[in-house]
Amino acid sequence: MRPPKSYAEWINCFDSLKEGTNDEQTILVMEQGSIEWTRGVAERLTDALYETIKHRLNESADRMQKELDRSNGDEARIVKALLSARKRLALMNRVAQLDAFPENVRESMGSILKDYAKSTEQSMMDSAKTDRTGRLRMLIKNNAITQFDKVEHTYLDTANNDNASSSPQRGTGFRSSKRRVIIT
Amino acid sequence: MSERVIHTADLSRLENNINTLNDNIGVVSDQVNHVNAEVHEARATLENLIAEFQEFVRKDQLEKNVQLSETRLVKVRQELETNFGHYGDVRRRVTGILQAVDVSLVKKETIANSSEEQMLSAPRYWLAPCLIALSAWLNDNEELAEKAMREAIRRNDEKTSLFFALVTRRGARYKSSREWLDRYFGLQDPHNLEREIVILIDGFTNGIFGPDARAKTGKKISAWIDELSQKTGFVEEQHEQWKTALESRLPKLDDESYPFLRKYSPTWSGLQSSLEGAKLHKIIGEYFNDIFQKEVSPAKNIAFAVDALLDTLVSKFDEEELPLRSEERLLSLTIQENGDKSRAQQLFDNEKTTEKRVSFTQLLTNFAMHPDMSNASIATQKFSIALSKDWIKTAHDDITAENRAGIPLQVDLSINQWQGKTEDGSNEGELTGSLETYMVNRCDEALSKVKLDLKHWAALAGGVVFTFLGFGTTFLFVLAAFCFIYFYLGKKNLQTRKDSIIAEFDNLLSNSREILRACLAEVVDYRKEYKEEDENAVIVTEFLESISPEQYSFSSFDTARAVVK
Repeated sequence: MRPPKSYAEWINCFDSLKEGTNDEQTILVMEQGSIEWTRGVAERLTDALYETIKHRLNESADRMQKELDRSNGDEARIVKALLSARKRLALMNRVAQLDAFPENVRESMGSILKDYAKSTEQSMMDSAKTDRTGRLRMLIKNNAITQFDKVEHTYLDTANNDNASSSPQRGTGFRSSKRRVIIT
Repeated sequence: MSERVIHTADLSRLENNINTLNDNIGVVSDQVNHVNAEVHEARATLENLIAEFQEFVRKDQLEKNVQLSETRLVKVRQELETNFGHYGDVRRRVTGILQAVDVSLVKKETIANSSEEQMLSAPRYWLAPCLIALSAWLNDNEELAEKAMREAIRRNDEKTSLFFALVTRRGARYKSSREWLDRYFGLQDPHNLEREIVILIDGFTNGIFGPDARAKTGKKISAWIDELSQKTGFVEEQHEQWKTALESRLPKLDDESYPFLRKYSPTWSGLQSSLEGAKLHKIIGEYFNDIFQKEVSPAKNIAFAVDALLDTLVSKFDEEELPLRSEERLLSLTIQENGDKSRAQQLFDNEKTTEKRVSFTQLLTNFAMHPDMSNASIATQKFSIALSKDWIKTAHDDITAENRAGIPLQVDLSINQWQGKTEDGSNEGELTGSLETYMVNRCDEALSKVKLDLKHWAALAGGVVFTFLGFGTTFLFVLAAFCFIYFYLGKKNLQTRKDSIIAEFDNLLSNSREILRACLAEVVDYRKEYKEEDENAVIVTEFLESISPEQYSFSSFDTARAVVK
């Protein structure tokens, strides 16, 4: 895959991101890509970027819901679900902040991600109100998904999150495995 | 002495004149460039104005068509009311009498008197003697009932037979109902059916007839289809009929979509029709799916169900009203199509819902695709689609195949006289290179035409000659100097013009490059959208394969089971 320069090449990258099978490599080439931000192309590229992010956010929401449903109240699994959601958001944040896009586009895409993270976290907090011990709220707070922009170099392919540690090519820059998960 | 005087005087005047001439040439040259630029600008503005004006005239005409149609529609409806409004009384009395008898609230004499009055007020109307026959029947006056019935049959045999088949069914007189139904069937030719057959099909699909009549109707329908199928070219005719019906749902592509291809691609009309054709799959799929998703809510009892059918029979199918009903439909379509008269006429011609007599299969098409105009119930729509599914499927397959064959593989682009081709918008580098080469060549060509005039070369030659001669006559050095100055100024002006041309082409190239990129982006999105829409074709096919006509005829009002013979 070569760095995208034309609209067609960018669309291929977005399609690849939607499939979610090769995120790391796709984002790496996108980071080296460029595009002439001219009329007729700019609007379409912004739409395509928004569609891609929306698609991935929907997928992420479904995935997190499933993981939380399956956790059966197990704190470790809840934390794992929260952290994977945060990593997925961080990954999308890298896409939203690509240098090829102008500042205003980066800002609006960034705010979409922030709004999404905020509303998701709020709805989780609301759900956690029924937990009288307050542990669930604390878990959500300590592993806040709204902090996705603080995650450095999320090279984790979220689609294959479970196999991440066994994949040698993902070793570069994969720092999230060192992160201390607070389960109190 | 005199020579010297002339010498001095001529020099200063000549010098001034040449300077003035040079200045003037420079001014004129600037003005010519300026005028040239203004002419280009004026031409572009004029072209835009013409396009805007034509669009304005078109929109104005469409708006006028809508306004005229709305006014005319009101008049047609008034005319219908004036000419046929008195039939309304007769119509209301039919179900009124039946319901009054159900609850035994009205005296038989009142019914008889009122029916006789209606006979007088609605001459030539087939329903008036039916009403007399009905009231005579309820009053046990056999002689009058028969007399009135004969008159009703004379006026309209088919409608009278169907009317009494329904009325007797309402009164649970199965034998009479069957006989009236037999009489009605005997009058039918599947090639030339009256529009009111929908009442029979509605009765059949809504389970109004008894088991015997239902089985008979089912067999009759199969026999009609068999009879029609034996006609040469029947299958082809069905495919064409359904193709026309399905294509009447073709969507119109939004004017805002793909603005660059619309403007800069000679292939656009092909691309547009292909995409519209591909979008048809989803529309048809959703249309059929919506029909089959709808619940058929059965009437409370047989009396309600028959009354509804009688209402439709007596109020929707009178031939006298047909010309006005046709006009009403055409005007409604003109309003629906925002004043586009030709499109409305085409849709009207395709519908064939207001024709007096049509074949059974055309009726099935009308029930399925134009239920409002053919007065078909949901149950009948479902039954018609299920019965015609093989024809629909083949017609849809044909449309799909034609659409796929018709999609332009190459998209031609024509931007500021440059021509290029792309398949999927991925050859941006190649096309940008070609565009740049083209513009550079055009610029070079334009530059090559910017040359010094003969007078400039003559001035140069004169300058050289005067310089040589100036060694003999000093005065000629001055002339030589003026000639060289004139040549120099011409050369300088030439460079200014060249710079202006280069700047113009730079601008043109940058603008064209922008347009090219936008066109290629649209081609990428177009191919993607077409692919997504085209994939919906399979939804229609799968849906049609999953239905069968037997599923969609009900027996909700029967207590007895149908016996399969």
